[in-house]
Amino acid sequence: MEYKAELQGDKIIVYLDGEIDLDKTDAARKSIMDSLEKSNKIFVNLNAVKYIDSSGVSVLIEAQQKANEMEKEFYLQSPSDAVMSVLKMAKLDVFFKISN
Amino acid sequence: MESNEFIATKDQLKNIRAFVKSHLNEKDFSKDETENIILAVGEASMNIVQHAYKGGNEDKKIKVEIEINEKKLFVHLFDQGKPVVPENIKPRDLKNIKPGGLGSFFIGEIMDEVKFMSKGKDWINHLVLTKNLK
Repeated sequence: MEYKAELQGDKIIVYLDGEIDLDKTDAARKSIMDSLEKSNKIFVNLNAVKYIDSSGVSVLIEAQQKANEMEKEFYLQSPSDAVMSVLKMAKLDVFFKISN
Repeated sequence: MESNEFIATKDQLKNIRAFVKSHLNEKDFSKDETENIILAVGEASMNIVQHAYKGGNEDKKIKVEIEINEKKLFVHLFDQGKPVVPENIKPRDLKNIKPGGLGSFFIGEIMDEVKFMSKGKDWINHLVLTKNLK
């Protein structure tokens, strides 16, 4: 399975949706990492994510760290309430750049 | 008490969460509390698949029991995987940002009590997550 990735101008937006748990993290990681290879600006849209656990958050952290290494821009776009709640609990709401 | 058994593979984790959600009463917990409890159980189940069953085992099961009385919710998780050593479970320091290590932190943050019980006859590990009702 792959998540939709859309080129919009100079950026790629990867759309994650549904429940991002251990069963989905390989696909999420691949979609985001593939996009990081193709563009200097990546947005991960989380508006339609109803559930994310520590495995999903780990993918986002990995991607942010990879983007930093590659000197690319990385944003979380429109995170759902479920995502923000988990990020705040882990005090990661200040680690990521969040765009609405 | 409600009980169900699930095949110990990662594609079943959503079914464990759905089972727990179906038994949480909106009179006992708010929407946020419900989501947090589901997250805690989801994390504990994921730990069983990843660690007790080393990535998953379709020949093995995870049993989930839910018990609610007027004061507390108890979620029991049973597995037949590698025995847990509770002293080895340490949530990571949140300031040390890296992938991994957040599951135990979330469980401890959300639930009022997290306890491993003694090994039983049919199961190797028995974890009890407790949440006080308001």
